[in-house]
Amino acid sequence: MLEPNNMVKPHCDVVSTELENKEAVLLHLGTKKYYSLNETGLCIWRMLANGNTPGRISEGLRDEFDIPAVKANESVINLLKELLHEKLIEIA
Amino acid sequence: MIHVTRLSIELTNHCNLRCRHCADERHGCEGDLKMETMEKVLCNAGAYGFEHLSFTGGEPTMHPSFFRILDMITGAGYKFSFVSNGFNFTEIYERLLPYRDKLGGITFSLDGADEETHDRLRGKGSYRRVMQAISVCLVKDIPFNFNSVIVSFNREGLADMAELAAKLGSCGLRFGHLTPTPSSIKNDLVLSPAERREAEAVILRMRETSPVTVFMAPGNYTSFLFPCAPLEMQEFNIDWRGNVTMCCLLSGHGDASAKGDVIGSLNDITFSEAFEMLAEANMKFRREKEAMYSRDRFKDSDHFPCWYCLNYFGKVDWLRDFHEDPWHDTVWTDQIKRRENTNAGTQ
Ligand SMILES: C[S@@+](CC[C@H](N)C(=O)[O-])C[C@H]1O[C@@H](n2cnc3c(N)ncnc32)[C@H](O)[C@@H]1O
Ligand code: SF4
Ligand code: SF4
Repeated sequence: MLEPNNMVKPHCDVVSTELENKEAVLLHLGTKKYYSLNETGLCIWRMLANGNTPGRISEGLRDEFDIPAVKANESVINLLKELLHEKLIEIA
Repeated sequence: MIHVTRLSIELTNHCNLRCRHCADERHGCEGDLKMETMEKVLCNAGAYGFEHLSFTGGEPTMHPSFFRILDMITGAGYKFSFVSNGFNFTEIYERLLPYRDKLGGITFSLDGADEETHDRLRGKGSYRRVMQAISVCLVKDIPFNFNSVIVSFNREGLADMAELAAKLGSCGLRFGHLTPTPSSIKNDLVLSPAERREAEAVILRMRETSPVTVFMAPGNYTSFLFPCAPLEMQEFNIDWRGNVTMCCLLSGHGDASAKGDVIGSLNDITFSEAFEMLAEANMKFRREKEAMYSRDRFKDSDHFPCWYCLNYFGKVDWLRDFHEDPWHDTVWTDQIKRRENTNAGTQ
């Protein structure tokens, strides 16, 4: 279960690639599946890769996209859950 | 006039990697193909039926005018493809996108199914870079395939490579034998003739079951004397110096005196002169190979056609000094002696 203060980090088997259009691709070297991140997803990915907690990432997202706190929290938690499920991130 | 299908151009001698199996001359960082040579090629190639240009190197994407070249060739109606280590792909792909409809595909070198194996040959970080390149190709819908060189420590993992290629959506996987280099011997990469044949048998079986198209580059054991595009005059090769050569696989191999595969320089002769000279050299090669075969002077190892060429052009003479190497006893020593005597006679 993911808590707001849990530190998460990219899974060691994941190769991330930023694209020219503010999107990114994550390729899992184990499953060989790839996933696309949109602009919001990329913003979250960058912050988690920089060692931020979900709470800090949510604040960052609010600042970046000027969205309400509830919406930012929801976006962060939903994405992190999905990334965890696909083993693209792990709890640090 | 003969119509040749493939025009292969070594764009540069620069490279961002130092793979353990690669001949030093191949990544010597001495220069790039001159733009005048490229222009000369473009003015003439159409008349010979070329429609497709394939680029190699060194690392072809490191040619300082790589995108200007793409502009020139696609403007002139040619399709193209290139082989790359993928290391700088995330930095360059955006500039490649405008040419996508003329891009037949990119061949990425992949020498192991996992990071450790690939990086052991190509250097730390190179596997992740090539996977980044694949990621880009997947989302940008750029067709790609893989080229893998079989060496001592990846030969057990050929099926894993095919599985990886299939899962990643590669259009194909081409395995090739290692051309021995001093560095590949030092790094214990070389397979013996028997081990080569074992690998070929595995690949042959894989071709029937693999979910991805698997094939072997020319060089596998065969009774055909002329089993490849260059020997069938279906490929025209130009190296980064502007030399027309017999085959791109031979470029950069052997010592400075082993240049029999070089037909002539496009800096000095016209395209059509080079073409005629190539056709002549090709005929001579064919005649001599046929004669050697019919006189029963073929060693078993000469059934590996690239090995035959390497000997024919004196590109493995240096192997005489590597007594422990499994190919040492199959080097054409008689021919070396003959060459040495001829050279001594002319001094
Ligand atoms: C010379 S490289 C040029 C393109 C690019 N630098 C790359 O590595 O993909 C073209 C191909 O030749 C292969 N190669 C290099 N040295 C070789 C050798 N000694 N024997 C067989 N193939 C070799 C590489 O692994 C690569 O797939
Ligand atoms: S194989 Fe390709 S990438 Fe490796 S050193 Fe040779 S030219 Fe460079
Ligand atoms: S080295 Fe000889 S046999 Fe091998 S591909 Fe080149 S021309 Fe053909």
